[in-house]
Amino acid sequence: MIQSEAPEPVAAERKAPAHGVRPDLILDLPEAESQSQVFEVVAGRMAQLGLVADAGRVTAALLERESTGSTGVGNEVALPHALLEAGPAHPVVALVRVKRGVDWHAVDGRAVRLVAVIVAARQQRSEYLNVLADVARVLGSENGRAFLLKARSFDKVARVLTRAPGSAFLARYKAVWILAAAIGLAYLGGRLLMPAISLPAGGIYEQLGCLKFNAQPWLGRQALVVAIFLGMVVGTLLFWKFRLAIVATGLATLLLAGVMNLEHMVEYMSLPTIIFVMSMMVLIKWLEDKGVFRYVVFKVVERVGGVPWVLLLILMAFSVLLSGFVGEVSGILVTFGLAVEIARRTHTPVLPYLLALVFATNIGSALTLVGNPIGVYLAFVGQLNFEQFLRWATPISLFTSVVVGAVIILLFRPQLRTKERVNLADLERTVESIKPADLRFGLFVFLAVVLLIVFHARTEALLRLPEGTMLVVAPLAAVAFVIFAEQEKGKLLIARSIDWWTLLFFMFLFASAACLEHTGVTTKLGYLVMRAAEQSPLSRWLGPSGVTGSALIMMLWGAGLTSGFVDNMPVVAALVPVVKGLLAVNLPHASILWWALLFGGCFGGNLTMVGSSANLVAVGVYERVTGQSVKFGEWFRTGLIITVASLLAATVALLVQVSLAS
Amino acid sequence: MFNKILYVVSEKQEEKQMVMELARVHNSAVLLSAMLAIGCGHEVSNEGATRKRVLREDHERKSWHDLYRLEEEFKAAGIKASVIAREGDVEDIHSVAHNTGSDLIVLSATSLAGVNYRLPDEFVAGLPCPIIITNAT
Repeated sequence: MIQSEAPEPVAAERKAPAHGVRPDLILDLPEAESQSQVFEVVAGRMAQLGLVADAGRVTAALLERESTGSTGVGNEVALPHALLEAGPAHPVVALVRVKRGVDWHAVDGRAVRLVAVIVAARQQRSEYLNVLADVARVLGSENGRAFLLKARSFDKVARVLTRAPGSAFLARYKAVWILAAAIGLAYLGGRLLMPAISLPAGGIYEQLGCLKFNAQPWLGRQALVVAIFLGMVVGTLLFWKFRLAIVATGLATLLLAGVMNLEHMVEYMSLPTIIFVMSMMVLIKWLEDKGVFRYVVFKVVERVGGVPWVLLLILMAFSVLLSGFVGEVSGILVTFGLAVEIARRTHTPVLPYLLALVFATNIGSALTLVGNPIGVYLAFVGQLNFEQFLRWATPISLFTSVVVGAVIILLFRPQLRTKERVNLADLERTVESIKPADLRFGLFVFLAVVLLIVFHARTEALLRLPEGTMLVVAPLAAVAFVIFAEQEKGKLLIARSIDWWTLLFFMFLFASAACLEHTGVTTKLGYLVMRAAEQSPLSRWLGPSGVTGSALIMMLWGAGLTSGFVDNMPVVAALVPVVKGLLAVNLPHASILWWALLFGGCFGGNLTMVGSSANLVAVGVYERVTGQSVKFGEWFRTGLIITVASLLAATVALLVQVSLAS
Repeated sequence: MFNKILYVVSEKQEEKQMVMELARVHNSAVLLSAMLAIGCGHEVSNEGATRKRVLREDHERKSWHDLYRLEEEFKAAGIKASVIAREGDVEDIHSVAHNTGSDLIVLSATSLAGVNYRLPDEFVAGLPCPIIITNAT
């Protein structure tokens, strides 16, 4: 016997029912014996409300539809629907919640607890399909189902089942308005602030010929450049998929406004950086295809046994090393791929592996010159060589990795406790197709390139070549070698491996960021940083070294915290001219600021899931393999701890270096 | 032979005709399915959360609309059809086929974009029934 409870008190009776959802058509049934009994109750209620003329015909139409295939879509949900010859003026939706469930012959065989009945007149077919799609969309999602099963008021049910068209329109264009407002505010801010920051006469700025930046034609250009560059940063944040279009538009505007000419544009694009990154993309893809990294990581994992948290530590160490030598994206793909296999076999959650390996990858990307495009860019603009990276970046990156490794184990070890061990023989299937000859050849080429890059400064000195020449020659030679080796497959390798999207993004961005330097914006920013550093307690305590230390803290934490929310490359590209300006005014040991930028840009990427390319790639893999998405808060809670810990470790290590150098 | 055909719907007309023909010949019921990929488009971006939600809802609404329109077409052609949809990726077809007791899966190669147009060997080996992958072009 069906017992229909009276509908709950209606909180929004006066509101127009959206999509025909009415409070008196939301029914709670403790139990129901069959589909036809549910239909009889619903049709009876519709007739009672005057929505349909004949309840019997509605029941018959719904049963007829069921006879052509169950409308139980699975997950305890059914969407019976029918078009009637003489139906209501608009589609009507009735929601029935059956507490104990009813057999619906659903596709997954489960009893149904949520039944959304939709009926409409035949001439309303188009509207009927829209309503059906809307309701199905809500009931198709886990959150929607859970909410509807628990909702206690009509308002809540109606809110979940519908969406006001106006809000969609506003949401669609909200980001455009935010971008326009950001550009407008930046321009106004530039017009007000740039004249207020006046470079002092009679000092280093006069000797460098920078006083012209205080004059009127430059002030207008400065406001324009600030507005366009900030627009590019905010635009890439709001429209990530269109980031290339955003920077291309910005660059075109700068050219059109006469702020920069074509010669300067080509000069500022930093083509050596682009050629280096492009050649390494080809080489790393080729090595990935050969299975070199997968094999090496597997062999080490095989030796250390199958305890999950120990394996996690080993994979973290590999993430640091791989991202340091082959780049963050390749590194995370290799180690996270293996981590997913380990998590599956030990029935441990995948999320700790994801977070730990991404954090290790971002920290490891500061290990050497080749780990991150930031390092390559800084090497060319700051004329830093590989050995300087080994002297400055490697120890700090390794030290930070150890600190972060300890924090990770502290945070995640309880989640990785399991009695199950990884069956490594089973894992071996993933590397058994790798040919030994390919492996040896790949390793040989890789080590040869790494050696050429490591000793590039010495080779350049020996051959009397300009600085940085070998950084371009080594990967170019490797690419030529690989293409010769691959013969007809070489063309395909080039097409598959070079990420033109990223390379063009970098080129346009570098050229645009250089306008900040060209128009004196960063000189003024550098002057402000210098003034703030001079007045800091650290400089009063340590003297000139304290001024550098304060500037270092500002650069490191500024770049780090900003890089967590926007792409790290625009942040670094904007701060590079500031460092150049501080070097030009002879700030003591100012070259240490390059390392502050490197660590800020790389470590700050851990703060949120959009902080670096490695994060985005790993989250994509995670969502595909687990079918779950990572929530912002989930990442941010751990990311904040790791970012603060790693930036603190880098600050201490760099400050020690400053005090030792003075 | 094929009592239940699991058809992962694409926009290709030829494919629809083929499934209809198969269903007629074997007197099969057709399960019309769309895999609603989480994160729509597989790209995790830092676009505004509201805009992402709107785009995703639009995508889902369109998928459901197309499924029910197709259901009507199958019904008009005298073929038993039911709609089924899941949050998930193409690899989740595996569990859908198991749960629904499907005898045949029809899938367009265009649906394999999220897995680089390649189904892993272990996925194919674990399927409960044959699969037809139609040409994307």
